[in-house]
Amino acid sequence: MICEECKKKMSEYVDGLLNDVDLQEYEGHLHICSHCRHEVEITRAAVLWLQQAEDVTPPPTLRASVLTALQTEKKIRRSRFFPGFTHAVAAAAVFILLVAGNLLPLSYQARYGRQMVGSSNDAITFESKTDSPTLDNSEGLKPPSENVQPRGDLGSNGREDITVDSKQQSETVSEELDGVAKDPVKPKLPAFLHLFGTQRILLNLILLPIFIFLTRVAVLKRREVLP
Amino acid sequence: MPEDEKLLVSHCQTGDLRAYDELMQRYEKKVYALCFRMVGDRDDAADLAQEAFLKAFRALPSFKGEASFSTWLFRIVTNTCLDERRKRKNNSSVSLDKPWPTEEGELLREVLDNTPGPLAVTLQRELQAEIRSLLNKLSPAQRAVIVMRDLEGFSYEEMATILQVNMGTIKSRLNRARQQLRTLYLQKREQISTQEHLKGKGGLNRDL
Repeated sequence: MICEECKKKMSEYVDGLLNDVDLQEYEGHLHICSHCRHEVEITRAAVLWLQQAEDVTPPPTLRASVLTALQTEKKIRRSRFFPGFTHAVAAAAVFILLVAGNLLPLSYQARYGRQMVGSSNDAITFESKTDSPTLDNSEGLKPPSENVQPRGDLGSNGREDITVDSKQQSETVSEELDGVAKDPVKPKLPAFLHLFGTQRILLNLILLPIFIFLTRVAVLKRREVLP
Repeated sequence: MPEDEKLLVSHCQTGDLRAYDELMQRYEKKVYALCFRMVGDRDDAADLAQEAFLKAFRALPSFKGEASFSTWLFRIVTNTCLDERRKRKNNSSVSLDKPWPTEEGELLREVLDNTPGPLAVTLQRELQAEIRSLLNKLSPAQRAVIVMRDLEGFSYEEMATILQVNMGTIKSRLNRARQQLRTLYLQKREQISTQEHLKGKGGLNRDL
């Protein structure tokens, strides 16, 4: 055996794990090699010195703190969603209603607003359809032929329009649905727009506090379980 | 794996915390000791042991029983400790166990302790500080094998399974670690003998 091999097997030798054949060979080498003998001695001494390391005992709270942490985790896991999830969903739904309630009438107005006003006759017609913003641009909703501005008196042009027969009127409307104003007319604000405004305010007054309340509860519930 | 332990493990896998408490009770001493030898600080060791037990419980559903529970648990513990050592290497926190390099050599940091104690207690404290300081000088991988083999008495086979390497690697790793241990031990011995020599001549007025 050479010193290199001896080094490789030193740990096994020190730990008494060599088989009989290897052990004999190893000790034979140690007998003749003072360097390796010295190394083995130092290794043994170092290990023995190290083994004087103090005994330690775990803190008595170790298991309890693990169990507490696991119980908290379990509680969170047991509820399928995070705490306050239902409130968050409800808040989101209310938020969607709020956005829809505020934006839909606006987009409706943007789309049909110009045609919705014009003559007193037309205004009345539209008033009855106020609550269904998704209404088609069919007969009942057909706006007046002329484009108008949001406010103003009923002008002479408006009166002339009424005299136009219905066929002609629908043709004109389909041409001007894009909102291209060719012939500006003094406008009149139909009554239903006022109604819309009130409804929107009512909607906001009811939904906003509900939204704030739900969001607050959701946040509080989530915070409760956070470490 | 003993039958009762198998039963406990299967209970734990269903989320039974009482069964896990019993399992922890069986291993907490060894787990804590391993953590302490790896980091050399009681508070850090408690944190690491807790973290390892938490990780183990979370991972229990994936434990299939191909190795014994203890081997599997100690693998988690060792990995947790090695990760911590790696993390620590990156931030520059000052460890009281780390020697303080000076021009004349390294000095051990000592916290001023005013409580009077008998000489034996002081000597024992110094010895423990020296052991911790020496372990600190080993690389994490070397420290792991030295701690597992020489302080916690794991067999080579257990170490190979825990560290997920083959027996050949364990033997060579242990050999290299012990070689390093020898070097450090000799350095420490020389340092002490020099101090004693100087003290004998009245050159070093420091009570060892």
